[in-house]
Formats: sequence, structure tokens, C-alpha cells
Amino acid sequence: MHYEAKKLENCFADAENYEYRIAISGERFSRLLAEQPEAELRVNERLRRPTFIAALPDGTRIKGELAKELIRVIYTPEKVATQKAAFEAWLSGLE
Amino acid sequence: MAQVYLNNAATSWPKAPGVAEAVAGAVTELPGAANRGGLEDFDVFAAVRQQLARVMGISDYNRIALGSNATWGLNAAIFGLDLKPGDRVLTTTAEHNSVLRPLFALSQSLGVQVEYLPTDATGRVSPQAWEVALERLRPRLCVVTHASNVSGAANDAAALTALSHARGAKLLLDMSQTLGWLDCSLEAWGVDMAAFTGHKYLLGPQGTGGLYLRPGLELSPHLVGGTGIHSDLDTMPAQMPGHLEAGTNNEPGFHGLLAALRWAADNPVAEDREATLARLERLESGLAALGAAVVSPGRPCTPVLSFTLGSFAPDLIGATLRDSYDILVRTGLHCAPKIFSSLGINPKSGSVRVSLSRFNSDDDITALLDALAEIVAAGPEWL
Repeated sequence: MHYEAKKLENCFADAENYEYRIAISGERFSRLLAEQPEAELRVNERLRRPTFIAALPDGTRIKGELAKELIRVIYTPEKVATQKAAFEAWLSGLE
Repeated sequence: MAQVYLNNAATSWPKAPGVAEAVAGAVTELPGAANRGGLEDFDVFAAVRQQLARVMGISDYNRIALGSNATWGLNAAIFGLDLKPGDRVLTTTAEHNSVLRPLFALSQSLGVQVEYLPTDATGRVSPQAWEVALERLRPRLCVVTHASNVSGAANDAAALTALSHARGAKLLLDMSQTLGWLDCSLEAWGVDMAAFTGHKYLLGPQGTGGLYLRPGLELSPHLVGGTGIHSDLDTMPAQMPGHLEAGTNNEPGFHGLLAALRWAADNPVAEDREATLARLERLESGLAALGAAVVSPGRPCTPVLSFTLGSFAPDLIGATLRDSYDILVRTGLHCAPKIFSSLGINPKSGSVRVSLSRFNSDDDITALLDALAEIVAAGPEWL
């Protein structure tokens, strides 16, 4: 799947947060995430705009709105290189 | 859904009525005379200075140098004072990086000694503690914010200036958060230098600001270059304000600031201040009812507050408010990283900051409290 990525800067120099524009809705993306072994996924439909959050086994955390094609990924600063490579490889392989 | 904008301590929005039209007009009309005009030429910079002099409480508007923002003014003052190795500077933990970073640079490059006086638990500078620090340090320069951009606590600029002068120090006041919100009397207070910005409570455009320099005090220009006049000299013109104003200034931006200043002259902030602070106090009560720890400085203050909410990460509260509710606040350290230990807030995560303007409504406060109630009900694991 094609995606665009941009690092999100904030007050903390070691933060490793990225935004990804993906080609599918957050809802469909969250269903694909749910198929991943050991991925934890929760959906909150009580917020005004329903969202999902997910945690991957390597510590990567993912948030997004179900209705949007935009997700936010939070990597662990000490493991960002491997986490990011793994996530983006998985993302690229999605149909 | 309409956006609820609660980040006015960073940049005010909406701007004062007429600002957008003034900026657009300045771009579509012929440019001004660049310091060479005659009596028939409208000098927007002089007009801005005259309006600012009224708001600042000074009599000589030519003591105001205009630049891009308060950072420009603070740098002009801090680097322009020709501090020497071993000179001491007293400042506070409430300062913005626009003060902290120039002072740190001088400490590294010149060996200037910088001391950071902790604020009290609300972000306010105690005049008693200030006096003790002055007596011990005997600084050449003092730099203090007029109000914390994190907690909203306003400082007694007159008292801090008098104490500084009594110990032989000059005082630079950072008015980024206060000019346009609090009544100011720089001349009566005896302030030596004061930096300001147009894009916060003056309700003007980004890219406008400057520095007031009291009569009799001179600075070496930190930035040098073209001035449109005295081009046959190797150095900057000697007289203020041109002495500190190198390069073409932001003429469209200052047309916008002029519109904002004129609007505020006709619609004094005092008309809205009480209602805005009442909204802030309602917000504070509502946050406390949700279990938030709110920094509550009491008055005098700007319409700003910071809070933390148990194990809810501030940055994720901000992101959820924006993504799920169209409510814009600011989270993190707010460019004032040293204040958090004074406030009892973890400097690794910072706070959620809500900053109102006179244009916010009761509905905005209701929207924020309702959204936070939903977030609290969902629990921190949902952020």
C-alpha cells in the first residue's frame, strides 16, 4: 500500500512520532491490524469521532480515527529504527 | 463542526476586526516610503509606534524599534547590551526559550553568569526572593517575563524594576504575554527595556513585534544592514529607532497590527477582561471537578491556565481534543522548560495549556469541559 509519512515534532527532542497518510480508512486499517498476531487493538466509539488505538508486540503504538485515512504512530525512541522499518515494511505489503 | 481555538498565548485567533483587510490592502497597494517619506506619505511604522506608545504608557514613540516578534526584541536587548565575561544576569525559571537560549548562548560564548530564580508554585516571581537574589548576585542585567506563558501569573513589573535599579541592574521585561491584555505603564514603572509581540494579545498578525528602549539607554545593534537612509555610512544610523532596525520590515504585517491597535483603542480590552477571566475561572472549577491539577495563580493574570490530569498524557489529551473534538489547546513545555519543577509538574511531559482571548465564548468553555469529561470517562488507556 502506498503511504506518505511525516515526522511530528513536539517539545521533546527525543520524541519519535510520525503521521502516515494511508490509502484506506482507519476502520479498514484497524481490521487489518487486528489480524496481526499479538497486536492489541481497541476501538472507542464513544468519542465524538470514533477512534482506534493499537499496540504492536515490539512496542509501537498506533492511533487513528476510524473515518480518516490518517494514522499517528508512536515509536520508542531507543528502538525507532527497527520499529519504523518493521512497521513500514508491513504497511508497504498491505493490499 | 466549528473549531474551538484555545491557544491564544501562542498566537491569537481570530484577529481584531479589520486586520485581514489591512494586510491585504498593504499587499495590493504601493509599498511605503521606506523611511524616506515626506509629510504627505503615510508612515505605517510611525503610526504603529504612536499606538504602541499609548498602550505601553510611554511618551516618546521613537524609542520603540520594530522587528519580527518578541524574540527579535529580546535578542536585540540581550545581545545589544554588550555584556562582558563575568557579568551576571538574573532571570527566572518562568522564562521562555526566547530569553533562555540567548542567555545560554552568552554563557557559552562569553562566560556570562546566568542565575535562574525559581518562581513560586503558581509561576509568579516573589519580589522578596528577587531582592535576595539581587543582593547576592549583583547582576548587571535582569530579565523577567511580565506574565508566565504557562500559568498566566503576572508579575509586579514596577516592584521588580525598582528592586533591580536599587542594586544597579537594568531590567528587561518580556511583555509577550501581557501587552494588549494588562494595563501597562512602562515609563512610570521605570522599565529599561521591554520586548513585545503583535501576534498575541495585541491581536495583530504574526511577524510583528519589537523592543522598547528607555530614553538615555543605548544598545549596540545586534542586526545590521540596510536602512533606506544614511547609506553612505559604514555603520547603522545613530538615532532610534533606525539604530536597531536593519532590513526591510514587515509592512503588511504592521498595517495589520495598526488596524488591531486602532480597533483596540475603540474597544478597550477592559470591556472584556472581566468576562474572559470569569470564563477562565469557570474552566478552572470545571477542570478541578474532573480531577485535574490546575495551576491557579490568582490575579493579576492573563487568561491562561495549565493543568495535568492524572495518568492522562498531556500531549495525548491535546491530540484527542484536536482530532476528536476540533478543540485546539497547547501541550508540552510551551517553550518554557524550566518552570515545571517550580509548578510541581513533570518536565518530561509538561502540561495542557488553555489560553483564552476576549473573543472566546461561554460555549467554548462548555465544549472543552464536555470533551474532557468524555475523555476522562473513556480512561487514559484510550489516548
